[in-house]
Amino acid sequence: MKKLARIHFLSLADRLQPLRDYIRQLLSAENIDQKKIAQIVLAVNEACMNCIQHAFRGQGTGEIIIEFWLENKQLLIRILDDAPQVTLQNIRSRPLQEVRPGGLGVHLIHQLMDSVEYAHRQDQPGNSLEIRTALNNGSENTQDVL
Amino acid sequence: MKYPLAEHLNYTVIRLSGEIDLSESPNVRKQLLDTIRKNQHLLVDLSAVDYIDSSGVACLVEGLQTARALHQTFALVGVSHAALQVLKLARLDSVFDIYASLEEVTE
Repeated sequence: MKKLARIHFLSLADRLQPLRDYIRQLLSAENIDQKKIAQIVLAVNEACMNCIQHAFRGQGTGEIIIEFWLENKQLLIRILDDAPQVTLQNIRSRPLQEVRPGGLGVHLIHQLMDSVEYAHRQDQPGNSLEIRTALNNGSENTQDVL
Repeated sequence: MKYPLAEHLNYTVIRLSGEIDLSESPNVRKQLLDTIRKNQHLLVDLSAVDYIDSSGVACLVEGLQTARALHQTFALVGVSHAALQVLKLARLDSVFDIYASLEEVTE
């Protein structure tokens, strides 16, 4: 596995834009195609948003760490927080036939990524999310997404 | 950021732009709802939106629901590729009335 980056940032909404810019630059430098980068950026943004809104409950005092790893034409992204541990069974998409604001983040992450795994951190209190996406044919399972 | 408003026929057009994310969506939400609550039929121009996440999409859904409750029009215009793909992922592209451009909007 090749480690591309380990990013630390505060769990604040205004940190998301520079984070997205950083990810775009990081993955462009690896010659990953722009459509795939757009999918990854959206998925990571949604995951971090969920941390900020739900795990930290809007308190901007926590830290989020994102690791990017390349492994056999797969990108593995690990998102770690130091928020109070969430109930993993409660992390789920809502029925989309209910047209209402909110609750779309988990659905989008599942749509965009090949695998999605939530867990509690083993090294310290907090939560982790591991998402993976194939880099050679990643758009196939998301149709013409982004 | 204050998004520009314009008039088209009997509609108010608000032109959103840039990246609509968690830090910007409260502002977008307020401007959409303020306009709707002034009894204005609203067209939301998304042609200059480079990025939108689920918090931005939630603003659009809330705008639509508020407008419907007031029996007013709420439609999207010139939806950028980036915005349309997120609406499709959320399976909301068929929920909104979408016009390719203002020329397609009639009385």
